[in-house]
Amino acid sequence: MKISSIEDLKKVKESGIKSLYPKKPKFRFGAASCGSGAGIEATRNAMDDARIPEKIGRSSTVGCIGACYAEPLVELYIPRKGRILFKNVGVEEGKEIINAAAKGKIKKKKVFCKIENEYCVINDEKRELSEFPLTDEIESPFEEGYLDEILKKIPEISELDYFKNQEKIVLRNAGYINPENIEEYIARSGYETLFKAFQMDPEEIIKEVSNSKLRGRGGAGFPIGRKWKLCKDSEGENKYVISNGDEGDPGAYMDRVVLESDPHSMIEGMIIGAYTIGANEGFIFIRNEYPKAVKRLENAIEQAEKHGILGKNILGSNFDFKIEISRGGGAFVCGEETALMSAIEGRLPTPRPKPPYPTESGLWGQPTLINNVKSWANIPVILSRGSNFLAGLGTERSGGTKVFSLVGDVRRRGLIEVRMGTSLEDIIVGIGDAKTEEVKAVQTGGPSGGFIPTDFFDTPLDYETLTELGSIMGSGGLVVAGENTCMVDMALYFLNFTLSESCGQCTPCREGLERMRDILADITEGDAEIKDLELLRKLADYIEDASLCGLGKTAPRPVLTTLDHFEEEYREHVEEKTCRAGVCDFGGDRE
Amino acid sequence: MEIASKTMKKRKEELPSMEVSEEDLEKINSLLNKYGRKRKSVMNILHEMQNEYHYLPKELLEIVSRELDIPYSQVFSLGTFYDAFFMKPLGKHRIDLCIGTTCYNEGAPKILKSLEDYIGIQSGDTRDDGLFTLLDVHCIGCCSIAPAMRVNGERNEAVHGYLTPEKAVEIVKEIEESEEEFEITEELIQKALDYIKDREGKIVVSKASEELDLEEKHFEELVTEMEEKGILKKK
Repeated sequence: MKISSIEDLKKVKESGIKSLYPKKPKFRFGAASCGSGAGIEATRNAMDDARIPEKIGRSSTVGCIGACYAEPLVELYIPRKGRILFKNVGVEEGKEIINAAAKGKIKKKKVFCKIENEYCVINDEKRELSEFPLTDEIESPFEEGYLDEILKKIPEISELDYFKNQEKIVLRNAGYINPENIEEYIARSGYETLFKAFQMDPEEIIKEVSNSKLRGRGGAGFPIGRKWKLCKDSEGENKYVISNGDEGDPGAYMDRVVLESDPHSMIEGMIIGAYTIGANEGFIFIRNEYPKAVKRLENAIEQAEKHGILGKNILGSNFDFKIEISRGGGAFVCGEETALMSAIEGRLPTPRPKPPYPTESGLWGQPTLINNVKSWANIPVILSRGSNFLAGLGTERSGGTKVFSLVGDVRRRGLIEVRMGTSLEDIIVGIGDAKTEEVKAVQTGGPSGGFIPTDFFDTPLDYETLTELGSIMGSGGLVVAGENTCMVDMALYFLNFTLSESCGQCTPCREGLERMRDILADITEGDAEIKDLELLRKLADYIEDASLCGLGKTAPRPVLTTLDHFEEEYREHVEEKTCRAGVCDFGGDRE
Repeated sequence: MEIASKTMKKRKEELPSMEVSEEDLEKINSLLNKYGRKRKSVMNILHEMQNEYHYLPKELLEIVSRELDIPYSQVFSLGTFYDAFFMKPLGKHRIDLCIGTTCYNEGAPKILKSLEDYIGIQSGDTRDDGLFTLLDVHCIGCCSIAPAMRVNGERNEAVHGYLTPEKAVEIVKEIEESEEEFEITEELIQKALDYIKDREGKIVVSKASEELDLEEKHFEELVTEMEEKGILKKK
């Protein structure tokens, strides 16, 4: 149905709540791309086959709750009780779990945690699941007394070490709702803020966004409010908004999870942005390497259109806005905003010098507001909770939370969201359960960032502190490197990456990186001299200074940070022809 | 342990030619209608073309160039700039092995080597029988289950995680086996008919698969296939 009033939205919300908390028990499967890679489809098929329809309701899909190390993740929803999550559920365990459930029993072996209390950050609503469904007569094979005994022994999700220091703003719905059902997004108070925004003066919205201290989540950290103001004040025939989902950093998958788990949170933010600056057209630029995200996004846009949330006279207002998906073609350089806009226009994605900035002259020369997927997803929370809420979560200079993909040599890998200013120690040891003595460094910011050694793990994370350490915040990849990682080899790895992704337009990047790569290759093969290290630094300086765009300017960082913090390893390679990690091979059987 | 991105090398060999049929024209036309005859549609059209033909036929690029009013040289440069597009046909099964940071650290180079050895091609190439194309790609965003690879991503989104060199080769072998044509013999047909009469009779399945030296699952698949093709009806 088309929603044109707050009453209409309430009706859809009721229907969504029924879908979230039905009267029969049901299973939900964590099926983002990583869940599917861990084998959730096989588990789901087996469990769906074993389902007894009289006892258990039809299963559905949820996105990623972030605990990737526990995948495949299966949720058992029990009416008027809550959600029980099972971890690492293979086909056989899945069958056991569903067969037990049909008989009113909980298979304890793979129990991960429970959710008895749900929290909707958007309107600060606490939902006790013992009350849901609100009215329907429930049908459940579980005996009350038996369940209570069992539930008592299962930890609530917020008590787990992995989750207890997390703060979910951007990922507020991920893993809770079916990303392919707009009603479930609305059930968790989605699109209510949009109504509120339409009642606000654009200047007032900009003020709220500015006061929240939200900064660009793509990595550069430009204050979002200021960007919106600049764009609103620019004049043009048309204006555009863009969501940058060209998440190209290897080791990072935050945008993928947002788009696969909760696409509407970003769409709602984009509509608010478009209304604020006066744009009627928007584009979502997304990596072609994320087919599942593309599919879910297409579906989300279609459902939003059907509900009158995109299109003409949105939600009964006189504001029109449409969104198109623009797919990338596997070119890292498209993450650079001017290149990205060329790509949308159908031109070769080579960056151009700035200024003029996109807020002034962007897509087709018109004022364009371009933000990262996660920046957009923050917007509804700012407007609904007020700017102080987000500002209060972060540091002096930077408000809100930051989503990281925590991978590499940690015991608990996954997608996490923590307050700005949280230390690396709290993340890597506290959440990731890594042993500091087994860790050498953490890589932040992908090919544009650098390596931070354990000595600096107590630094509170924000844009400035990371820059001081020679790295960058970046979009949020945290790759933890253990003892068996060779830092020279890693530097070489990243240079190979940036070199192959260089668009080739400007010489420092195209040629300079290749020379740096050659020197690094020589070092790993034992063919270098000590003075080459100095040459590396010099070349890095030139490339940082003279490259046209961010790709080239930041490409030397992985080399510089490893040189700064791990020079010994370089020296060992050059002088002793040894690699302490045992990665580089100086022997004769080399190809 | 150097991996120079081999997917980047677009060979300077002669491009294949195709005869553009009525059907091809129709397909292109429907794409042009779907996305609109505007420059901004070009990427979407190229993506769909790549999916349909498993490469970008130059004859069709000429049509796109004409219809969207973009010089052919520019359409061609889009086709060669992006890693997602190929100017020569890919194999029937496309294997994207991830060499993102995490996968690389967890042993992707060794997996690549074992895949190259088993399939008998270098990354970036297509095997002569047209069955496989092997690519090493930059991060598919499945770092938590590293090392990972995706098989035929555009078709079924299958991602395989926690790979070892052996496991990766095993996956390729399974695809190879599923491609082997099984000869439809009188014996197979008879056993299939027995099976259909008594679907629940697991004994029939296990006996039949033993005698025919087939996996049980494969036997059942063959029966379904024969049913669909109407081979069993005639009998």
